[in-house]
Amino acid sequence: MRKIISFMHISLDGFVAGPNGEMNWIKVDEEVFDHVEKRIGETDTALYGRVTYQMMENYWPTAADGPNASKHDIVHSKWYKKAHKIVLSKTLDGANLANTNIIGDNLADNINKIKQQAGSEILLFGSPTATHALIQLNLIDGYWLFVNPIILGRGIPLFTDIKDQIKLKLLTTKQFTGGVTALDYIVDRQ
Amino acid sequence: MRKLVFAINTSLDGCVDHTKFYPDEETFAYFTQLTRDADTFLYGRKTYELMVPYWPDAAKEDPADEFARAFDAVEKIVVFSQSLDSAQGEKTKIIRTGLMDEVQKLKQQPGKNIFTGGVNLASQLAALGLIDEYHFAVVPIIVGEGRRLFEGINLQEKLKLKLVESTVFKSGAVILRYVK
Repeated sequence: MRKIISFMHISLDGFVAGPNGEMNWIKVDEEVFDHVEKRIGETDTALYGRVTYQMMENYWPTAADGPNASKHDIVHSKWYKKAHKIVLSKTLDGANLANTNIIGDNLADNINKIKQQAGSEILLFGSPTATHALIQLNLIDGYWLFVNPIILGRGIPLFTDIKDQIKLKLLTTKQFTGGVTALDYIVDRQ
Repeated sequence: MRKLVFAINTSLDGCVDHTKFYPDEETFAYFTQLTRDADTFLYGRKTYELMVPYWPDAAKEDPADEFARAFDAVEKIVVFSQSLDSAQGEKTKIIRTGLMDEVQKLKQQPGKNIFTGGVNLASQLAALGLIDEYHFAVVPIIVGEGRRLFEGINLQEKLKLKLVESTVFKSGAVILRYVK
């Protein structure tokens, strides 16, 4: 069965954004980018919440077009246009969106159906609200977290309203010269 | 000037409640070494009451308990508290006000590291920029409820740290070490 992996940048004190959604503290340099793009390149499906999806949609389809497009822009734009996209939203109308599924209700059933289809792991990019909903339904199979060397003090937490403990298995870690550490876990369901 | 070193066990979701999960042997050994590298503990009341008399007693009962022995060998315990009436033993000193000055005075004394942990006092020390080294032992579990890392911290600005080292233990615990 396909796994859903939460891919998130977090602060040392466990926040994914400041109190007003600030993300300017997140370090994604060339080294981090090269590392993440390897795993993203092996993935054919992206999962987003509505807010993150709209941010992505406003940027990535044309990110490679400008004269100042970076290597990151070119590589990820190409991947984004090809990837199958699943968006959790009760309000978006997906009728005219190519290669995109909108899930508005029956979250558990719909996600489980997708998990049973053939394909790669599914990366859940950022999207804290969607992540919280999926954690509540026990639908997240792993966490790929980029721990930034900063204490924010307050903000939007990655984990909230957890009812039962979730045991994890650490797969790998990677330390980057910019001070970020990647921690790669799978949920231990035994 | 000697260093103020902070270390704590935390779940991946930042819960630091010691009743919710347990550190592995390698993590215990790591904390034992940090304790040996220090000659002074700096605690708030809650952490002090959690550690004393538990660890000094443990050292008496089981001399083979390395952490308990290292704990008991530390020369001085400074407790920052408004409410703690008295503390046992000659090595313990209570301070009630002037955290910044008291900690700076301690740091200027000769000796080994000053070692601190816990939540409330550590949040104040971090916010005052007094902590020189941070060690987070991240246990591979998501716990949910319980006291949070740096709960109630009141930062003027985000606190940026420098990553020095990350160490992985067999249990999947990761030690992340940072300096100010």
